[in-house]
Amino acid sequence: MLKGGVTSLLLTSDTKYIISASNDSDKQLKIFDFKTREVVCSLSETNDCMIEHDN
Amino acid sequence: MNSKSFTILAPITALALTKDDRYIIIGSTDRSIKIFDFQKRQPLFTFENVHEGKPDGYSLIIFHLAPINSVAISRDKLIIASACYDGSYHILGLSDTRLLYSFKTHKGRFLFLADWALKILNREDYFDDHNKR
Repeated sequence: MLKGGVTSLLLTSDTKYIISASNDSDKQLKIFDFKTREVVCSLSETNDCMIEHDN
Repeated sequence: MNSKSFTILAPITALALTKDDRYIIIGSTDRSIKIFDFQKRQPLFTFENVHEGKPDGYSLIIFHLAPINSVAISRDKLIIASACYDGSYHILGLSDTRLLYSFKTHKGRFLFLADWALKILNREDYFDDHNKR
């Protein structure tokens, strides 16, 4: 879930992932699986780079 | 879980992705540009602003004086263009991580100008795009 305003969105060329940037103070960059809508990876201020789970 | 390298301290304002989906270019209000390896899911490099203190070993100083609002990367992944709210833009070399050009020619914001700058610099891509229209 994104808490802040989305500032930029990208879709990978294979349409597998959505890359989302937001003003969210917790996790500002999130990578979603396009099919499942699950967060694959997120970058945050507190955790630097956190991979929640990878396919 | 993997935890490494750069920290994002400010809101992200611009994103770009290489044609092969390998790298994400991240521009933010702290005036830095970060390169994230999308395939390996790990931070790669930071172009950091000179006014933000001493950069670490993975950083290179750049000179944006306002938040970045647009980033783009060339098809060959050799050049990054960044534009910011003060009306300036930088052309950065990715292979040797250095500043190639810096311009300030407009008074207002450079909205989406990084894309335009790259197209002008890479004339072949520029004409290819126009021929497709």
